Amino acid sequence: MRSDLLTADGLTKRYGRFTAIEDVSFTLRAGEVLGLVGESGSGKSTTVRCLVGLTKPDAGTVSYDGEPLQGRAAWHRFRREAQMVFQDPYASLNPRMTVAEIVGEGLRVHGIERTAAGRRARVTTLLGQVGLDAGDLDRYPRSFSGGQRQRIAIARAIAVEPRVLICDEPVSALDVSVQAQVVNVLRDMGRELGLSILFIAHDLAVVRYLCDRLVVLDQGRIAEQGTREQIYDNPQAPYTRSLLAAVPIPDPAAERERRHRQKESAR
Amino acid sequence: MTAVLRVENLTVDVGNLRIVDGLDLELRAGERVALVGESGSGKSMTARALLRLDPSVTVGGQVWLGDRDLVTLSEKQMQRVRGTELAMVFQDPSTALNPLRRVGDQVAEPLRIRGVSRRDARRRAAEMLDRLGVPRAAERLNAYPHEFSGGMRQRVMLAAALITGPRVLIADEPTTALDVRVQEKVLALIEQLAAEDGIAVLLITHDLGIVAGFADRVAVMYAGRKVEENSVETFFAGPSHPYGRGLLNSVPRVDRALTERLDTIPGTAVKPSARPPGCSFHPRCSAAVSRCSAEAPVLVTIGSGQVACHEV
Repeated sequence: MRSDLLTADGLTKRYGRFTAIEDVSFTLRAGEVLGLVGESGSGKSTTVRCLVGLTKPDAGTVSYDGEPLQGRAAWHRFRREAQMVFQDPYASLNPRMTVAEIVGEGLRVHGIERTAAGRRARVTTLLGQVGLDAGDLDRYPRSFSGGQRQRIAIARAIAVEPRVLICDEPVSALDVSVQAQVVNVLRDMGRELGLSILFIAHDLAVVRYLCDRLVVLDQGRIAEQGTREQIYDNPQAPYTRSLLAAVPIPDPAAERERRHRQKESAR
Repeated sequence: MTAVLRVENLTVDVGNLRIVDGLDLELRAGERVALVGESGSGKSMTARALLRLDPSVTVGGQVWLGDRDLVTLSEKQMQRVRGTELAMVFQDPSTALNPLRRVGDQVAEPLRIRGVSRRDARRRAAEMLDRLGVPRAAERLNAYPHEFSGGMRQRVMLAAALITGPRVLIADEPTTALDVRVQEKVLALIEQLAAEDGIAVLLITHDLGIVAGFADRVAVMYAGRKVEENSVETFFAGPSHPYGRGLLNSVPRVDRALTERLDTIPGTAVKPSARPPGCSFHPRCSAAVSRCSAEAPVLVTIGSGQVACHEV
């Protein structure tokens, strides 16, 4: 049995009379990839903001490695051991910093590599791991495509040797061929480094490739959670079923049949 | 079947940069054609050039709408074509609508410009919104865009585009910003209205899943050029161009057994400013031979389709 690494317990957040999330509980276990899925407005982002301390929940707790996240020491440790990759690779990298500075910053801040030469060597290795090379060290984000920027963001996140990677829609803004590259990189990194990954996404086809287990959010509440096989082969919640039934299939005959079924069930 | 829109050797230049390089495309009445490609492939620039939306770009070639070449029309004549015979909807319904104007006025505007009375225009706006599945359409004419959800706003956009009964609708990523369940409804509505009114639709998208369900034909663009065109049946059974194959293979699918890795196309899409000599795709192509880097392939007809590749 894998041990629990990051646990949300009864998270609730209200904005005025609007309840963004209510009683959201789930656990990211060591070494697994957990998908957090749902449509816009389902509460994915609020849940992530509560998990990483950007928003204070009205009720509920977050625990990391068996301890509630309370007090400076606990948060300090969590912020080093949990890293994030964001959706928009055009907004999440400082345009005035070189790749070497962006990826090396965490190494410096956390005192992992204290010398500039040591950092440079380490950053070069990291870039290699995500499919970039040493020639990219002194370039600025503007000279990279969206997919390359997302690789830089992944290199930055894994630089400080985290145990947890929280990826908030990391491939939603990318073209399909590049999306596939980044999904593969995430998967390889997760396995090589033994990372636990929380993968937030709305695209159920991508999630299926990457995630061992899924949590499905619907209007701020958990509709269903289970293993990949349970969710895709035998979904229980009507909401999960309707989400799955709406995923388009790149095959005209299958797609016609799928859409026909949808029309029938709408009657 | 005659073409309602025939594009011949279309070029789009921004400054001295050729963004779209010699595109041919034909839309027949009631036909649904998808134009696909990655960001930077020139698909959106093509759509905008057909309507001549950007005054700062130079459009060359011919765009035949019936017996008129839109490229040669004056701006004033073009204004009459836009929104009456040739309509367009955009990706983001929250920025394409004016937040300060009532929805009914925005849907009715194309009719008002053409001299329809306020009362008639409002009545027809309500009818159009109703056809597009907006609940209590007549009452909601006085609402503002922020009172609508993303999917409902896209229906409002569609209503404004379709209210004058255009012959051609150009839809640029119309559902990309929407959740899948909403996306499906919006696409079904476009399909239904286009069929009922005999409108030809040019769908610009990067999502091949949508193309499979929506389009009759698909044209693939790479670095500003069309590299392949086929019926959807032929394309999805096996694209003719290595780029089309690469795109299709990169799509994660829920209908297939899981594989260890997703197939990818190596490298990144080239910008039109850095188009390599020969075939633009050759640096990323696993089937490339020496000829591909020296000589640009021309489009040749194969069966009912076209492909530009030396290795076909």
